[in-house]
Amino acid sequence: MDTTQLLKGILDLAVLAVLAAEDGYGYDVVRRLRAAGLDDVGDASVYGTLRRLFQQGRLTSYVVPSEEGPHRKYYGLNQSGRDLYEEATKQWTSFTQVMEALLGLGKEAA
Amino acid sequence: MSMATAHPEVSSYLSALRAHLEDLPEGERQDLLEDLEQHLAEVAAEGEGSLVDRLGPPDLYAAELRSSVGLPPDGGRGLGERLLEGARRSSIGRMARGVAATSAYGGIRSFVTELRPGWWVLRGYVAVVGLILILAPDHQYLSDIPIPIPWLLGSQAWGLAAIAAGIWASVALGREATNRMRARVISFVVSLIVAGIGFDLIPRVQERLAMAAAATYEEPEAFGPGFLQHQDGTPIANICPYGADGRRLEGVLIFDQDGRPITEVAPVTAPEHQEVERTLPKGVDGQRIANAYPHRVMAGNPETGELEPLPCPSVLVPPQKPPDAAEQPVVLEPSPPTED
Repeated sequence: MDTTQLLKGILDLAVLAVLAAEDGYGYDVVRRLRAAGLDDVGDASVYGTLRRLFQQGRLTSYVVPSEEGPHRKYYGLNQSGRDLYEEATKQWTSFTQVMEALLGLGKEAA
Repeated sequence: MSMATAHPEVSSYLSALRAHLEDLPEGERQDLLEDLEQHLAEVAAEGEGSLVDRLGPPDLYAAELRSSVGLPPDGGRGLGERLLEGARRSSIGRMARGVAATSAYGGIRSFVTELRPGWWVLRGYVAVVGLILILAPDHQYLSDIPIPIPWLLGSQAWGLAAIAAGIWASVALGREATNRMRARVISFVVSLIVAGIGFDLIPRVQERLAMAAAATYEEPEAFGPGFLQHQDGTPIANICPYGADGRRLEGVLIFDQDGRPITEVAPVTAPEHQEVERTLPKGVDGQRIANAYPHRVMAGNPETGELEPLPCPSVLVPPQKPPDAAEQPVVLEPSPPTED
């Protein structure tokens, strides 16, 4: 099954989850997602998702200057983002329950 | 701020990406690329290998980026879409989305949608008529039917054909607009222009209709007002009375329903004759009576140069039976007093 399509659907929630735990900058979020097990997640997708969530008013952002490396633009959840995260988590939970029931039925039949 | 000099690869990758984002509005593209520069620098700083190895070719990166940001694929956007996209993303766009979510708005919107085809037809008609009136200020205009149809190339049929073509084009544009973004923008702009023309048109049309109405009441110029004439403009130069038995009558006094004498006969100006002398019968007191007919008219014949009488025509009036006693018309003289 093509996981990229699945991933597109849930990437928003995954990114929100990462940021809910702790603020992060672009590549940092990518690394954390991959570390969590989403190996296939694309850098461009994560970057684009961050930009889009920010434009939708869900994220705060601030730049942390650095002397050695490049300046980093950090993102974090604002109140709207936290509300969205909560809502999306509920939707995910109920959705997975439905899917598990469906798949459980499938298993029994097979 | 920019680390491009430390990472030339970043700037070249960035340039390649920029090429695939060229259809974006300037501000948006700048914004995206600025952050992206920092991001790419970060990626380059943290790992090994070239950017292309780690991120894939720039065109694929750009496509994936567009997809996750919510933009349509490259090459899919014309001016109309870009304008609409920009509007949507603005704060006004967000407010509009909030309003659009209400059910009242939904009801209004579906009603407006039903009106749309009617507007397309009206738009086509107004566009054609408006263009004709604007381009031909001296245009002659007729309104036989309730809806004014302009004349074009000398006939109303052409005007009607032009209007039909305009309506067809307008409807075609409208239907295309429901499917394609660019057509929607064009249709909207055309509607605005035509609405503007329409407002300017209303006084012009009223003026033309008034002119057309006035034209039908124009007096013939050969004879000024005040002379008797037939409805088709032929002047009445004499009144020739005949009796019921076919005899020509002389000295008949003609009055109208109020007792006013009718005297305004036209001078004879038929091409062959010019009136020279009109002899009116004399009354008992020797005064000329202007409303006693027929007038005796002598006219000069341009060919012979002599005066000729212009008699009343010898019309063959079939003699009628003299009226019966029972049908005797009322005689205008005081009736003898009766004793009842």
